[in-house]
Amino acid sequence: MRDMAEKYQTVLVVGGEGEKCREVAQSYGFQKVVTPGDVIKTQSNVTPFRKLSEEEYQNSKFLDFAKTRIEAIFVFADSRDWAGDQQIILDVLTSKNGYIGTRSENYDEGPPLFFAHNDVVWATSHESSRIGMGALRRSVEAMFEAVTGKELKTTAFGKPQIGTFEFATRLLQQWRKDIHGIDAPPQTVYFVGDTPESDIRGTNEFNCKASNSWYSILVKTGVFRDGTKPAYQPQVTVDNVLEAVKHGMERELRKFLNREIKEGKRDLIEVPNADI
Amino acid sequence: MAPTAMPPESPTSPRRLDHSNLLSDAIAFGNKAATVVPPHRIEESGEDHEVASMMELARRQLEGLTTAQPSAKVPSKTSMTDVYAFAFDIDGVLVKGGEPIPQAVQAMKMLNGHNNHGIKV
Repeated sequence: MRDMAEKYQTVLVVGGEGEKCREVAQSYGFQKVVTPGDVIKTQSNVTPFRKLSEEEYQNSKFLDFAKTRIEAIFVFADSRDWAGDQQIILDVLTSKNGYIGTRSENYDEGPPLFFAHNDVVWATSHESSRIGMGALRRSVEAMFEAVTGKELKTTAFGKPQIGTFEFATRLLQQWRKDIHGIDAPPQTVYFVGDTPESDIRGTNEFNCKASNSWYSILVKTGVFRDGTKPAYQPQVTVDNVLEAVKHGMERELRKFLNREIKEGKRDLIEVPNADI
Repeated sequence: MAPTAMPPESPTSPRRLDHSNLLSDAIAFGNKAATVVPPHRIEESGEDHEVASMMELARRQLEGLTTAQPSAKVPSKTSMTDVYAFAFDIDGVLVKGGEPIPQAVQAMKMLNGHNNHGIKV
């Protein structure tokens, strides 16, 4: 994100509750952070069906559209108002160089649009998954094409992007060093996820590229439903995260025992269930 | 149990990037994984999944902008394995609708040494 903050000074940040995303964007180092609330406060007829609450109005800032050049749009968290947010996103994408209130002839002068992740659905307390940011991304792309006739290219971070796993690797390494004084990466990372398209795909693909092993475990307590075939095949599918942990630990114990037997440190014995 | 998926640390471990630390430290969104899971949704104000500043915090740690704290000692009763690690997605794995899944609590305990072999992961 720091690279993003250096590249883009003024950004439109969409999603989340209240001022949270603005604060987060500022903490990343973006110089000027604009929200949909700011746009609506400045010109309320931008969103015919969305009025700001008193608190939102107080927290939002008036903008000088003519002097505010939006250089990039970031959807950091789920939108709480798809209609209003998509309208504002569309206005910026179809503007001349990111100036709200202007209109590009060929709709190709708008700023880039980034999404924090790409999960179309996610698991909540509801019995079936709920639509998420990935669905919003599809919606924006389809809507842009319907309005302008042109294709919109957007960028999503998060799993299964390799960058996400590389960041996780660095973080894990630093964590192990700081907290446990361990200076080497783990030989195997067991990644437990509920979404084949992001968690499992990302882990499997990263496993091919990483120098250590990344072992994907799919659980049935979330997006993936038992009885269906996952779009991306995990190394193992288990009922829940406890079974996932047991599986990983048992596998490691078995590996350890087999190695000891090979090295002659242990007699060959029957190890029925390396019972964790 | 805080719905994070940090590798369970020894009780003396000083810097756990979980909700309570975050909320006292800073703002933002949080979340996931024994490593870190990518930015996720910001939830209602009771349930802060505050990834971005957590990632920023993590990033600053990586870049040495915060002072590293001394490594925590692992209790001698359990043995820490450094050979493998776990990483977890959160929604649908550890938490559903803001509430931890019961098996998640047991899973974390197991990783923390509550298993037949006293192994901490």
